[in-house]
Amino acid sequence: MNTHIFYWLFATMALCFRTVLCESFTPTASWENLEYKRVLDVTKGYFAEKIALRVKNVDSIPISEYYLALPAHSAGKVSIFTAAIPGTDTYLNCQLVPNITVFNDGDFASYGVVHIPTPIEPNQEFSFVAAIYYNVVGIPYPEHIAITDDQYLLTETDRLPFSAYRTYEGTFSITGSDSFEEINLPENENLRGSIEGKSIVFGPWNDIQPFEKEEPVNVVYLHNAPLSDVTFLKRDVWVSHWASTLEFEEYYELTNRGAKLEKGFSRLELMKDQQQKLSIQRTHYMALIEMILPKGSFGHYYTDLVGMVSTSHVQEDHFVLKPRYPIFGGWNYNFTIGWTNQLSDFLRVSDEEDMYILSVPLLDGQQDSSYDNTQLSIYLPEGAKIANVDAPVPFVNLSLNTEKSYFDLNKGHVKVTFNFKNLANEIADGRILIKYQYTQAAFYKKPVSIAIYIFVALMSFFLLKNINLTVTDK
Amino acid sequence: MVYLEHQFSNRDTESIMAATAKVTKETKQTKPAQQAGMIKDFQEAYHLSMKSYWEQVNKDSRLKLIDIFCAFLVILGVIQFSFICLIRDNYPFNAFLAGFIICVGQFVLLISLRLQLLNPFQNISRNRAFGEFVIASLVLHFICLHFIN
Amino acid sequence: MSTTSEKKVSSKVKQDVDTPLESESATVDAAFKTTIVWVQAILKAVIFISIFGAAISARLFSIIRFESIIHEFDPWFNFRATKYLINNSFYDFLNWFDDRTWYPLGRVTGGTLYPGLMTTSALVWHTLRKIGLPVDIRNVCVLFAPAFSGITAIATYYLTKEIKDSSAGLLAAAFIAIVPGYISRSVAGAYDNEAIAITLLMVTFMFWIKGQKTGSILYSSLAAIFYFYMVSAWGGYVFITNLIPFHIFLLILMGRYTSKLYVAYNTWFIIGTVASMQIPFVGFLPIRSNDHMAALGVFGLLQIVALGDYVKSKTPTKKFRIVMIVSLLVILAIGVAGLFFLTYMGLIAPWTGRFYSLWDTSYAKIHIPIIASVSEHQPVAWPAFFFDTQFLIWLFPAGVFLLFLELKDEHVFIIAYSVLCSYFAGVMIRLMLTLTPVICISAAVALSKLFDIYLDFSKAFDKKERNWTSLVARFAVSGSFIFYLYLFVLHSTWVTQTAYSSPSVVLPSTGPNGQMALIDDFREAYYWLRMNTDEDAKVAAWWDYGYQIGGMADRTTLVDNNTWNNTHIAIVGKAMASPEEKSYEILKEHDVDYVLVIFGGLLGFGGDDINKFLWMIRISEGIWPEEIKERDFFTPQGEYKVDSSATQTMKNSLLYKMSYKDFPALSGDGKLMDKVRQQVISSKDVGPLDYFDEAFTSENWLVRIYKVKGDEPEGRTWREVGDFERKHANNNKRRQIAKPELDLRV
Repeated sequence: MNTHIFYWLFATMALCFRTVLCESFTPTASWENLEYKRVLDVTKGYFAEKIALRVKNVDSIPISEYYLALPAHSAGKVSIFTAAIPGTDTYLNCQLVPNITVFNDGDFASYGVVHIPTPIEPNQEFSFVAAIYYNVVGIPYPEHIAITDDQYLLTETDRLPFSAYRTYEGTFSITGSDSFEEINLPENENLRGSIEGKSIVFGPWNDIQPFEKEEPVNVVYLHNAPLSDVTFLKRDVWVSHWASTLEFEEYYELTNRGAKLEKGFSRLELMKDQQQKLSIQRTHYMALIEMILPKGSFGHYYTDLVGMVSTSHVQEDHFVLKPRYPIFGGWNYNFTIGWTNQLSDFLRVSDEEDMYILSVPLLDGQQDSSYDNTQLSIYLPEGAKIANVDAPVPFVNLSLNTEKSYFDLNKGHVKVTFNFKNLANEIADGRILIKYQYTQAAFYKKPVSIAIYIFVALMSFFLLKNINLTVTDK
Repeated sequence: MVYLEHQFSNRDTESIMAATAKVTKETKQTKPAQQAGMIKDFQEAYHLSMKSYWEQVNKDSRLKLIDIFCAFLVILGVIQFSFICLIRDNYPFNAFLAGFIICVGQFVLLISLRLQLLNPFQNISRNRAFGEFVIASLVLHFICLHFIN
Repeated sequence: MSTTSEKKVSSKVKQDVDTPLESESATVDAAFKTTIVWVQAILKAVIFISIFGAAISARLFSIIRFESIIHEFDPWFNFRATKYLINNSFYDFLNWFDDRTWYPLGRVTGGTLYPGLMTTSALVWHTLRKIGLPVDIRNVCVLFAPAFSGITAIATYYLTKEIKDSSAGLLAAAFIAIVPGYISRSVAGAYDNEAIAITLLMVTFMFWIKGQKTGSILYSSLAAIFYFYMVSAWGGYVFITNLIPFHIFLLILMGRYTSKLYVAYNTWFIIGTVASMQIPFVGFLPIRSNDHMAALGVFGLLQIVALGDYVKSKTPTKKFRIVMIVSLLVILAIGVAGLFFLTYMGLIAPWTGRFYSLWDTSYAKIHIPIIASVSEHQPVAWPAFFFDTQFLIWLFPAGVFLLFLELKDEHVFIIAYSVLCSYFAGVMIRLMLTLTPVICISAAVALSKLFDIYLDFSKAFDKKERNWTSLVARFAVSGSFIFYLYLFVLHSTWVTQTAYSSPSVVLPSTGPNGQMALIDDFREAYYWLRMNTDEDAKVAAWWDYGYQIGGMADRTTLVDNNTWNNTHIAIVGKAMASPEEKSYEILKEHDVDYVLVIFGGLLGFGGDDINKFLWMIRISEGIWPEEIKERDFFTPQGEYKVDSSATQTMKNSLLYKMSYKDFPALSGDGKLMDKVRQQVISSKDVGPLDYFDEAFTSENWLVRIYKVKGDEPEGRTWREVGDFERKHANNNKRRQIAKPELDLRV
């Protein structure tokens, strides 16, 4: 009972808090969108959205911050949010902000803010392209299919540009599939989309008010590939100065978010399907998992909770795993893989004395996968001192502690742990940088301490043996 | 060599054993007649043993100590057993067992010590025998304490 | 490979040791003597290290050929229990009630297992962590048996040294290190009670022999402590419990009573008995069960003999004779009567079924099908003796004979051991394991005696006494025996590699291009269960797979290899043997969600459920003779058939339908040969399955998992739904296209 009340109170408080926050924030209408071109790419197992914007400062003062509104269904699901000036390599500083605006119907909008390097003078225009990756994908439509069927996904999204500012011209298109079909068509035929080549295009629309809404778009598209979703990834990187290697170990908890099987599994049907379809043809179930590893990796292994899995092979930097069973929609699988690389490919000696800079890729692995929760730990050798760390994307939290491993007789390896949410393989190349100090003394301390321990053990053994003799010879 | 000596020392026992079968027959046939004689034999044997026993004990006070302890253990064991019989319930059976077994065990260990004190075995001095006895008793007590809860 | 070379080295080195031993008698100066002692010590250490290495590396074939994995069935339970132990406290472990097996009864696991194995490996694990080696518990468990077999070799050395001398000891140690009969139960991954039990058996016997020889209380206490350890590790401890009293009894009968025996036995018995009662599973058995009565009887007897001995030393022999005979008769009568009385009153448990089957091999078949159904409990096939011990088996009687010639007290022990064990091993294949050590010891005694004489070439250097014929004879004999040793090493390596290194969870096979491939269907299916079913899902499978499902799939099972409840096993057997509707009811009653069957027909895997089906039927017939009849599953000709001539009862049984569902459809014409039973199954023999859905089938069809359907939403039975759908489908049948025949990827 008590706990019940407590939860209720807590919920109310949380609500109040949120309301307070939201009501305090609506971006001032200092911009107008002259052009708002939104392209949603559904090729992958997560959505990639590009919004090309041409905006004008309608305020009286120079402004350097543009608030990009994000719809409620993407809240907490954004993997990457970047913005760049088209035609150049200039990336703009941008980040998600905690502020939200709540509408009368209970819906809300969250924001990402784009910092423009030089403030835009009143009545001046500015163009940029925002790229947003969401850890969101269409839902299977129909939900249950047969093994031999193709998989279609349904996505629902805003039809009109979703912006806190007034928009003069907006278009929306979806690309990345061979077949699109709009369902639940709106009454108004002007609102309907049309197929153009390999995409479906909506609009253009003129003069849209801030947060103006129309019936949402419902599009069904062919997506004959598994929707690989890593619900948890534990990525451990071990730095060994003695062996001069960098050892990786990754534990995956994987789910296929694709369509479930209609009539249960049938090995007979699967065998028929695999016979008929060419091996290149993509299927909605995951029969192989292809991992892309850093160049020059060796010492690969592939295990799961019940032991080694013998069905894997390595082709250059591709590590091809055949899971124990094909992973159909709604099925889970977890496994551990590991490999080793030369340390010199990742470690640089700094100019300062005994200082090293380690640069580790954020992710290695599948080409088409999203990662709900990622825990990345880097184990530096025993006795290392961390000077600085840097991550390419915002992390949920960072912790620093030690862990004992083989022959760690003192404090243990220094462990830096990052927790990330909603990563996508798009940012796999991002680098985690760690600057640390590792002295020669610490380097030699380890073998010396091992030797001392063994010596002490041997000595005490001999001593014990002597004592024992005197007792029995009474 | 040791082994041979010991074999010789046991020769009489062996011969007794060998004769067992034959004698059994004899006893069966002539049982009533020999009954009286047997009782006499018994008594005689008993007296003889008792006599030599007292001699032995009086010679060595350590033996006396051991024997008193043994007697005490026997009494203790009997008391425990009769208690169980009296109340006709052996509910904390492990506790009873532990108590009883420790009496028996200690008794046996004492006898073992006594035997070694009388004629020490080869390679084991009396002192060492005592040391081993202490170790074994400690082990026994530890286990029984654990058993008794 | 390394094994072979190492063994060769060690056997050669051994002979080098023997020679200096002999030549020692020659007069040499003191300096030379000390060097020889040093060389001997170093050689001995080298031999020990190489024996240790050989013992371990011979057992690593399974890891090299497969992987570091727990083998077979029981080890999976031990592994699971060990994991429980390291994640919980020791007291939690002893009070562990496992509700994930024997659903809905559960199992008082803590009180029904021998904790020695798990405790030891947990201890090893903790110690390794303490010294900076945080190894995975699985690796500790996998390498447990090889490590302990090394210790066994050392214990055997000391034991044999007590029996004969150190050269025999070294031979025995080398034998036990690589003898296949012992390797069969101690390869890497065979994480079973036997892995530690044989080590403890040897250590206990070693201390016992020492204690018995010297009369030292210390050694006997040590024997008792290791006996306790043995009790905590293996049910076979009863063997020690009976063998040691038997040894004493024999010695008393031979008239060899000494105070040493009194000291050794009583110390061992009292400490050992009270200690063994500390194990929850054993409890009060040592004073209740008949298996232990012999030890108690000998204990009493010894007291009397001791008293008698004392009295005897004081009285004239003739009188004593009568006294002794009378008292012995009286005591014997009272003892036997008491035993009968107590057994009758139920105070002492009568002998267990497994024990009876030791005496009467057909006992189990008649009374307890569940015991007979375990392959380990079958009588041994005679070639197995040769297979498991090679040339040791014919040296063994020679060794026993040599011991008879000398017949010291400790020799009596070995003789008693070998006679008892030879019989038991003939009855139950599992007990081959306890016989192996004594074979090694006796063979080592025989061989070392032979070498003592024939490897003595000291006369060859002495010109006066040189005798060419004797030299040639010596060369011939020792040469041939060294050749036998070499053959033995080859044989052991070969047997270990081919016969005893398979984890039986993973099956070896050859791929299309001749390279080695693994058939990993068991783990595939178990892992599917683990990943894709509800955490509380209940799985019904034949009991053989219970431990594996618990260990690998981590799901609740109805029955497992513990087999403590025959009725529960019979329920599963009945469900498998009954027609679908009835099985559905039974399974629903027990909240079963999934049914798992093993089907080897596609692969030719002989140990599948259809082949075990007769045991299921027999066990359930024992409980429900009205409903399940073995006769109904045989054709009128009395054959066990699964093709179209199979009986209707067979075809209707759940197991049949589950095994063969979709199987004939694999070929284009709907007819496919079952590779195990060599019978053709055709589509029309296999009835439709209405109450169960195929949930998963592994790649080679070895494991098939079916989901028990829920309630029908419209209240019909699933049979009615199925009939309706089939009727409907028949109308559309014309549209079907002939499917191409599939190549099987095996």
